Parts: sequence; structure tokens; C-alpha cells
Amino acid sequence: MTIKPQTHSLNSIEVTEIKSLGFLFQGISAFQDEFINTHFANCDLLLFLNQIDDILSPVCNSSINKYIYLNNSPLPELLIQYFTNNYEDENNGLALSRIFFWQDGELVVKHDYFRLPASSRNKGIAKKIFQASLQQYINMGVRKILVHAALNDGGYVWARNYFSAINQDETRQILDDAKSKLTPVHFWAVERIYNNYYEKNPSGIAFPIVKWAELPFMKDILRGSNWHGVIDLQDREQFTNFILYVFK
Amino acid sequence: MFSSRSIPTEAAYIGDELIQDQQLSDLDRKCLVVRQTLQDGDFTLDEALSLYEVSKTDFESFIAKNVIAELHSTFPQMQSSKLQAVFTIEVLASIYKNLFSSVDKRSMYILQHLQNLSREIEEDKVLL
Repeated sequence: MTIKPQTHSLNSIEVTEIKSLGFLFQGISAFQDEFINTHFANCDLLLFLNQIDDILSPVCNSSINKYIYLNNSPLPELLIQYFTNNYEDENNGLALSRIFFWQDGELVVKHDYFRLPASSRNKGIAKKIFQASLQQYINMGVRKILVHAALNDGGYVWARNYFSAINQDETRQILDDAKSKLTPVHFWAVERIYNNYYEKNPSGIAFPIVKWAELPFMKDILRGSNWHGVIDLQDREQFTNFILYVFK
Repeated sequence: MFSSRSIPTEAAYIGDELIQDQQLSDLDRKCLVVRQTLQDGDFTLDEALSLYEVSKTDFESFIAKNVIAELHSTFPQMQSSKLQAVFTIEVLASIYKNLFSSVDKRSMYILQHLQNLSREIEEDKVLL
């Protein structure tokens, strides 16, 4: 699968069309097109929101809240939220939230929240959203995708999706948990991966936690774990794994 | 707008769905990680195979599949399977020559065999 970057310049007519899709702009109240073109260049926001709407609107019967939040302080931020009123309902709620922001001179997107009604899961919806999103990320030059892996097996699942662990404190905590639960032989392997990475990368912020996730005895430990993950889209290996093996 | 700080994060079943949708088998995923641990110097081959519960045969087959995929992707314009086969044989011969011809005194037999096979494919004596 090849994704080629595309250029785009948002105009005021498209902003009007976005509003007619039902999206409410908040934060910056005028010249939204200029703000997006300046700080989030090449984002084809109308196309992206249309795709989100096409994919997600059929999955719920209730009314949908749609927001675009533009913030300029302290750093430019673009927040897209799409959710039903019952979004907190684990079985019936629908919610999608994506935050684009600048961090150390790099554009980053946080996969903040994505929930689907139980009846709409495992039907390819998540993949369609990720594919539409990725095209925009490439267009915009997004450097990193962030996710908080936690709750209900998230720590295991996002590791298997090739997200790397950012914080050593969090991987250390998982290592400590492994020490108390695994046999010495199994723990030796887990610790070996940990030591080898941090000895070579003392300030490492991309621990390849998938190496733990594919160890059969680490599954239960990671299921209960809590860590912040990243895909670096400019790291050839991480990008290739994510594109080829998640979206193939 | 809802406050993202007050609610759970990206649901795990979303990630599960992404994994289920991919064409990569569980075995392929394990083989990928085995290869990564070898490249990073985490384990020896035997250690990695044992820890990730992958047989040596499966791992060799995975590496071979990757080499074949690389060969095919390098020359996608070769539409004819005959051309692809002949090219692949020539690459195999080159690999063997590079790796073993200086130490294997009988390498000529293998290289000769590959040359014959290549010619027979070209002459349609071996059907693909």
C-alpha cells in the first residue's frame, strides 16, 4: 500500500460546506481556513470530515455532535470531535476524537478517543477511519501518532499494533510486574529486551513493546498495563510496520 | 464538546479490529518479531525461536517468502511468469556463487543445474 502526499488549500467555501455538514467551529471564530492552512497545511479537512461522516453516521440512530476546535494558544491545536450524546455508554456510545498539535517543532496527532457501538464492531469501520486519517497525516506531514494504551486489554492490543512505548517509567513498571509474575527464565527474556534497548538508547522514547507482546507469557501482563505509545511516521521501520502490517 | 480527560481512551477493540483485518497471520507476526530481536541483538536464533514458539522451518519459510516478495516487487514489470522464474534462478545462482563458490568445490554442479533449469524454462521444456 502506497500513500502519496497530496497538497490542499482550504478555502472559505469549504469551511461553509463543513458547517453545512453539521460541524460547529469553536475557539477561533473567523478566518478558520487561514488558520488551518497556516498551521495545518495540506489538511483536506472537508474531505476528511466527509469521510468520517460517511463512515460513522450509519452506525448510530441518535443525533451526532460534531465539533472542530481551533486553538492558537500556547501552540496551534486542531481538535476534531464526533460523538453521540450517549458516548459514555460503553455498549451503545459512539465517539471519535483526534487532536493535532505542535510539539517541539513537530506536528503530532493524538488518537484521543475512539468508541463504537457494540453492534458496529468488527465490521471494518476502524480500518476505514484509520485509512482516511493516514492520508491526511501524510499530507500534513504529521510526525507522530500518539495513543494512551490502557483499560480493557489496550496495553496488549496497541503493542501488537506496533506502537512503541514512550515513557521508561511505564515500561519499568511493566517489567516490575513481570518480575513478580513470571518464572525466572521467562523474566530473563523480558528483562533482556528491556536492558538491550535502554543500554543502547539511554533516553529512549520508542521502546519496541511489540517484542514483549508477542511473547506468549507476556499477554496477561500487558493486558493490565498502562502506557503511552507512539508511531513515528518518519521512522522507516515503524512506518513500514504500521502501514504494511496494520493496513495491508 | 466532551472532555477527553474525563473518559477512557482509544478502545482496545479498535486495535483488535485493525489486527483482525490485516492479512498477516499470527505466525508471520511472531516471525517478524523474531527477526527484529535478532537484528537488535536481543537473542540468539535458538533463544528467539524457543521464546516466541516458532519452529526453525517456519522461520526459514518466512524469510524465504520475504525474499521472494522482495524479488517480485523489485521487477513488477515482469508480467510473464517465465521471465520472473528465469530472473529468480539467476538471482539464486548469484547468491550461491557469492556465498559459497569460494568454499564449496562442487558449487559448479549446482550452478550448472540452475543454468540448465533456466534454459529449459526458456525453451518451454519446464512448464510453470
